[in-house]
Amino acid sequence: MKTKTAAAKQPSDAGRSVALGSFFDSTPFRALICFVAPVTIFGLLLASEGKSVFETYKTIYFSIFGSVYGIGEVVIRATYLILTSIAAILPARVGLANAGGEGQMAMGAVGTAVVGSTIFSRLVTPVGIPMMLLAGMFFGALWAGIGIYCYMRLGMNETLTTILMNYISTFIIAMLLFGVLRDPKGWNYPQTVQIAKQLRFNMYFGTRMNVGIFIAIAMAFFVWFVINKTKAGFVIRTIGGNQNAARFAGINVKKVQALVFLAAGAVAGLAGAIMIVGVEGRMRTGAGETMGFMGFLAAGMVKNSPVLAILSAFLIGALNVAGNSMEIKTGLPAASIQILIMLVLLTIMTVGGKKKS
Amino acid sequence: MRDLTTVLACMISAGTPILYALIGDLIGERAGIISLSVEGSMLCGACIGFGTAVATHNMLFAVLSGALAGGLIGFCQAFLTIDRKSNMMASGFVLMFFAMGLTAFYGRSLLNISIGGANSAGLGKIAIPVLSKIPVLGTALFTQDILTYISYLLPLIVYFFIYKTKYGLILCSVGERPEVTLAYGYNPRLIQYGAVIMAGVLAGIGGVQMSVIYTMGWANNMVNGRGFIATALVILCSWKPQRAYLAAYLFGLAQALQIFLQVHSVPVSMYITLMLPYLLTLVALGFISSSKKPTMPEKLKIVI
Amino acid sequence: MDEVNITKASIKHRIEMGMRMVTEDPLRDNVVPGFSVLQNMALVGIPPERRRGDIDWEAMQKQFESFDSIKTLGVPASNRITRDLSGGNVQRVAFARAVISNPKLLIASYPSRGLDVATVNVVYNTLLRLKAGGTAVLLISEDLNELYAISDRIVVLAANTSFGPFDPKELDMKELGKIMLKGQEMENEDKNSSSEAAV
Repeated sequence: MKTKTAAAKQPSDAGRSVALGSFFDSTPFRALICFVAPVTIFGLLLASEGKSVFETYKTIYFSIFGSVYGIGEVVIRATYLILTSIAAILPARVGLANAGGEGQMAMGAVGTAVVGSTIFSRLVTPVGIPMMLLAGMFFGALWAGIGIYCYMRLGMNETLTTILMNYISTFIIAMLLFGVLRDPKGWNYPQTVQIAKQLRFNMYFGTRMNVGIFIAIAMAFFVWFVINKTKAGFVIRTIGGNQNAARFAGINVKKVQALVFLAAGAVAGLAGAIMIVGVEGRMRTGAGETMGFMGFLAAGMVKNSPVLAILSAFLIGALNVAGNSMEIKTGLPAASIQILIMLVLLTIMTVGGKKKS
Repeated sequence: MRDLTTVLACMISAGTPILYALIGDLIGERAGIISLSVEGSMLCGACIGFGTAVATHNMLFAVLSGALAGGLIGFCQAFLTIDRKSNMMASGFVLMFFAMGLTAFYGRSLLNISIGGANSAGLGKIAIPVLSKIPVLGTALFTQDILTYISYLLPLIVYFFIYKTKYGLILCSVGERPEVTLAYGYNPRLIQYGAVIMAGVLAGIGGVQMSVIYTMGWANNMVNGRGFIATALVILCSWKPQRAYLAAYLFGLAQALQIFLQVHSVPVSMYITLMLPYLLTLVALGFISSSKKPTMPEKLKIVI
Repeated sequence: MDEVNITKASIKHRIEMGMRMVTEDPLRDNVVPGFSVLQNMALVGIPPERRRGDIDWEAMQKQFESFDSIKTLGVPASNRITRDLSGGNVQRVAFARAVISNPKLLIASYPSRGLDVATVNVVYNTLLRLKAGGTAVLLISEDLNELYAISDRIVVLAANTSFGPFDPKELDMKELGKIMLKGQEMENEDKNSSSEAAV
């Protein structure tokens, strides 16, 4: 993380002080604060509402580590989060902010569900599943494409555009799921028809875990490799380092940005596809919610490093699972866990930021 | 005719929270900081304001509490962005989710309460004596709640402040060249803090209007993107406060149409009408974006 | 350029045709602060070679060490991070990579602005050496001493008109200054006023 370089590089930092003070500025202390402060504050909040702090934290702990099923749930969330954080990291490296992971993942999911029960439903597994994943990537890229088109041709801010499109995608999907895509045999629930059986991933160890996590981790390393070890990555890093310099070097900045943005949408769409193929088997309203935004935040937490994003994905995934169990056990709304997650992020932002000199 | 009146009245009432958040964020953006956190401010204002209204049946207390809550979120945004050099978009997001969690947590007890007794201490609609008798417009514009009436004046006050006073000029200079502000002896950092906190305060008040007056109830995440829309609409206004009416009531109109179409069972999918406000914002942004560059505060150019 | 109209040519095309440029603020305009010197040399400088999909940094390092002009220009070590360098050093990097490819045309826009004396000297010598080697050098500057010291021809741009070309050997500096001012007068009707002198 950033604090390491900051501490190493500045022997003469005027704002930091001597001996005693320097303990409080050291990286281990900061890392400690990022754990202790959120946990304490959240505990205080719980206490203020009369909830047993101990019980709640016990529930949180056991929901994550207490059973194989729990670990499986964390792995599943991490799968989506790794991919959606990459969807934020790639554009960030070329100077754009893609907040549309939610919509891109959802569109990828819907698209996958539709083709999985129709066009691809007769394909055999070795052919069908890759096709499904590609379909998800296609629809995700499509949705991202609208966003980047608005940026390129109309000069609209891509962050705001993609956020608005997230909301729009929710409504479009709801409209489809309550309408034309609704499963006639589905007891009127807003969900699509199930995809063909042979197009599903296997689940392991009695949990809902599937090979998706390996795909996600592989994607993270692949992206790391591309950015750092290829010429294309050099171009990306140039644009990210100084857009003027990139243009000066004859690089077509807009074109590269557009391609990277589309690739990001594809990766988010892949998350949606894995969700359908691996866990859900069909699309229903609200599936995969918040995974896009959380991925965006996970990316920010690790300063847009693809490999470190794996770690933050697991962290946020674990807390996310904890939130759901918390709702069941203590009756607190699942969204309450956002308080803890955001406290962690807020602490990181506070502690890791530079003091104004 | 009655329909028109209803739609207009609804448009105004629905546009009011947007107007508050819009003007608030506009002030912040003039100082060079985008506050996506207004979404969070609105939410906290809505929750706490509602809770206070339920407990005290007093509009003033509700507004004060909502303003305070929104302002605190604004303070966090200011702190993170100004003193911790965080990316202002990222901190805005984090604060938004933080507010979502906080309000879901603390708002559980407010969930199924609705405020009755419409006229207790300014909680409901107040008709302005003569003006409200004007056909159509009278009912639409002058039979609203106190917060809406105040919101009519807000853009004018801010317009006057920005364009006609020295302090408005100083505010804008912070968003363009803070070095110059400093050279003149004013502290840009303090001004930025003030502007962002103000954005939070106003958004918080907008949230109070939403929960106490518009929906007369509290629901999780009831703001649902209105804060974001307000932020986007600031661009639509080209950072000019006088255009706030147009932007806010455009959104309000979309909202009003949504209800109107539903009530009259027009055969348009409910989801299309729900989408309308967001689509409209997107389209409007598209139109304005090509010509926005000349009027955008310098300091925002890095981000937008 | 080379009898081809390049008004609408893309930057990439112009680079391919042998055009190079240095500006007064390389950190802002054409250098990536976070990159090492070697990495920046790969941008419009030492032509990068590919190896298994990546740039062959080892080959580039060898090239870097082989060029005389890099030594002459006093370019810092290839692994130094650009943002840590002094302004003069950054400009040396920018010049080095422009010079390496024996450009047909070098545009130098206020190249010595804000630099230390040693680097300014290096800049002038480089321009003169390029000229001797057959490169066309377009120097954009407002420093009359500089222009008179090294240019063969001077053109004055003022009030949307160009005056010249003048021969510095024949036209006194004061006279040139008057021409620049005359342009200024003409422009006082308009809003725009920038008189620049070019070689």
